[in-house]
Amino acid sequence: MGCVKKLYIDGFKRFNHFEIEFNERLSILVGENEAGKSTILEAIMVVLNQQYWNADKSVLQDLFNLENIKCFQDSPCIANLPRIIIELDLELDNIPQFIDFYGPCHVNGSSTDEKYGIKFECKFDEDFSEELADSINDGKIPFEYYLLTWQTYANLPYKVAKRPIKNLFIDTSETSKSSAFNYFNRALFSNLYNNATKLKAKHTFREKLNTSFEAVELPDIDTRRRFGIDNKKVVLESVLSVYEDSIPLENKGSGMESLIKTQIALEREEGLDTILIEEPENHLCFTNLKQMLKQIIDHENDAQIILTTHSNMIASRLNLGNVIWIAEDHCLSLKSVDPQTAAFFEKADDNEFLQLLLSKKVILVEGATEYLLLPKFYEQKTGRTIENDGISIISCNGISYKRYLEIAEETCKKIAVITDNDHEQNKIDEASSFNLQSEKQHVFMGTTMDDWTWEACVYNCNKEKLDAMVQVQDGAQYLFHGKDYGQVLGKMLANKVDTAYKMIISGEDFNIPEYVEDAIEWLNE
Amino acid sequence: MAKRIILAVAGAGKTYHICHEIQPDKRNLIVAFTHANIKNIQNELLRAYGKIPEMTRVMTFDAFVYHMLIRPYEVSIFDFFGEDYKFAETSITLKKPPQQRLKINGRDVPNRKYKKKEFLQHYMDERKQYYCETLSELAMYVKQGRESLIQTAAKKLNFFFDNILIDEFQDFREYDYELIVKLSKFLKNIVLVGDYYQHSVSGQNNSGKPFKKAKTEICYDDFIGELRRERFEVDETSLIHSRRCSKEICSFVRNKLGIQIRSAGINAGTVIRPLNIQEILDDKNIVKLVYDNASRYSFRAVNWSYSKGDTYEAACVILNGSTRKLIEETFSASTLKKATLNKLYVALTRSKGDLYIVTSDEFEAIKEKYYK
Repeated sequence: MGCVKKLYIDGFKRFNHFEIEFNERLSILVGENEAGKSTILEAIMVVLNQQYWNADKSVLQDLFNLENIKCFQDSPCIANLPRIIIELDLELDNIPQFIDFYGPCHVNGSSTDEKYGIKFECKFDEDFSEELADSINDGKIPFEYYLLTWQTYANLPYKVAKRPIKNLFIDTSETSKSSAFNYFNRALFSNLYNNATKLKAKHTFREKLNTSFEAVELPDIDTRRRFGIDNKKVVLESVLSVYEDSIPLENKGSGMESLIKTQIALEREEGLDTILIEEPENHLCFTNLKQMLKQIIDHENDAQIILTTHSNMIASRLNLGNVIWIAEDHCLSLKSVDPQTAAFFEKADDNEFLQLLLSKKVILVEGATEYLLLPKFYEQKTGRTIENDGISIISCNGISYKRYLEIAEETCKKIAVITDNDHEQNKIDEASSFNLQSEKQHVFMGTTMDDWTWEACVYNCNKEKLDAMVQVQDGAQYLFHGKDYGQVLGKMLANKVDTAYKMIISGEDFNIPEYVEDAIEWLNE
Repeated sequence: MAKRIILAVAGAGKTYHICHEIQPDKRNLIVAFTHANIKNIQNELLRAYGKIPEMTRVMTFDAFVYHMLIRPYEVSIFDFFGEDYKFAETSITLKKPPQQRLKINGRDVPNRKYKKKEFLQHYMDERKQYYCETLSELAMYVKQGRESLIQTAAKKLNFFFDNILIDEFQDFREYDYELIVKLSKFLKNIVLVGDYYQHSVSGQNNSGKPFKKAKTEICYDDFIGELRRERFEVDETSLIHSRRCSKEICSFVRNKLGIQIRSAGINAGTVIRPLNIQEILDDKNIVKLVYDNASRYSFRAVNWSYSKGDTYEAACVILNGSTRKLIEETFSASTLKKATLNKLYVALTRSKGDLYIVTSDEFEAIKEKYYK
């Protein structure tokens, strides 16, 4: 069974130069809005399914990379005209029919390296160089004189009828529903059946259409004229719909629709090689999403699945190791994430590791109180909000912060961890030696036994204000885990979130514990 | 490693054998010389397996060389000649490359359009079409770094095919033949099937290696010896029985031409010297085989060389020139040129029924009646 191995993009939409390797089975593309997740799926379709083959050349202006267009406009000449190269490395069996895809004709990788793949190129037809030189030098891009070519790596012309990877694109984000559906029906029809079966179906349909109209016995118009069926107006693919229990899929609502589409795509035996799914979480309620994920997991070994998502649950359920993070002009696979760590996130449904990937800078905190108070402290110290600075605060909620750090290790993000020493000197020592080794990740905590946890630190530097603010009853002990920390701190520890909430709505400024200040400063270095 | 050559006689069923020799579940490549051969092979595969086996590809030699040896490596090829390559659309053409010398007004002069083999234009015209005639020469001339293009291509062929079969190998000449031998050195499994005595019959290939060295013709034994030196295992027995020709016709050919052809005994048919020639010439069921100018006659006629590969219900061979003494007791095949001998052999072995023989002297007297 074949699969899509690697995509190389040069000058397509938001990507100037971009390369991504897909997993053999499941790839989960994660990235900020506009990071180019959909562009990646589209690029695959352009190459494999010859999208735009017949399109009006005016669409090209939306396909070129803006930087390339700007570069041309800054100094217009033929050599600077924008162009697009998309190459798709494939994994195929070494059987005779696929020798036509195997060769050294690609620009990604070593030029003598023979591999399987298809190359798409969109460039100015230089036969018109002389004729159009003046207008090009004036800064006009001659879209109409662009050539779109598809060649295999063996330098042979690629035709979509010979597609080596049977694929299906399930797009739930498409707004114009009818066209999306039509696409799906067409694609399903053309990928599920071989050419002979398709031809036979279309032929029989055409014939039956004629004979059934004859059976209508419509009276002639006059002696020379009569009505007849124009075959060109009724193409089988355009009237096909998928029916489930005699209800057309279109009528089932967006959520069910994508659920069923995925199911159809996955359940075909001897079916598809690659399934592309765009944001499956769209329009799906929690239970249906879970059902879809189960389907995907059950069929993980039957086909290659490439999906884009914003959902933490999708990413962690389908194993973090399958996540490929898209940012700017590069991507990063989490393949090397320790399986134990992956399992950890999979169990915790409400984890927020995607946020970790999607923000520029991150502060990891232990729990809710830090999460509530930190933004206030940050604004107080810097005069800016954390949102302004693109900083996310993620509450680890019981997951060891080390798990998060491991995932983010290769992302080169700045991550500050604000945690507790829990009365343990070795935690303090560990943190300081970790900070010496690690450039992008630092751990901050109170440095004395008195500053053993967040509440203690906050209390120790704001005793006066908090003594006044936190109401305690005379004679009550306020033990925390059986230990006496004094009345006020004891109550704070027992009612962490309440206290934090009170502090926020009080509108007062508080002194910021030193290690928290350190963390904010380090993050802004 | 298996390199095998199977020597066949006329009508032994080469195509049949090739199509049944392959294992349909293995990855096979069948290469043949002409499109007509390809058609025959495809039909036989359809008969044998109901469809062309999924893992089997059939292609002409020119398509094979262009698609698998040239096209994927065009970047290196252009680079080798120091030419700029822009993934241009190329193709192949049957047009002849410019000759080295021209005859103008009877004078032999150098052709200014001719390019030496060191230039890409030796192999390609100005419209980026490769000449079929120099395709193999090109494949053998180009090196990619330290490796020859042939080695690179052979590696790839081994990666994709378990077995490569080449039909009618006796039709491959000069560089084509050399290319096959050279490729064979690196291929895992290759089988060549052909009939030595049918070489030089087809019009386009009637001279040169491997059947001629300088001006001397290479005889059967020398040819086989050469292939054995190239480490081919030579099979002279599997296809020695003609499924087409009767015992009598085979023994006639054996005695007269000295070619080891045996009959499988499937068809009956005798060699006949007709008394009433006109009756034979008028009979539409008997194909008349003439040395040349078949189109001149009003009866159903085919040139000897064009009849190659054909089977007729009955045939009448009209002898001429050096072959007219064939029916005489004293006839010796050594008096014939190799090419003529081979064409005659082809003509004599077309009939699955009776074989009529008419001499040119007999024909001469009445032939004008049959001019169109």
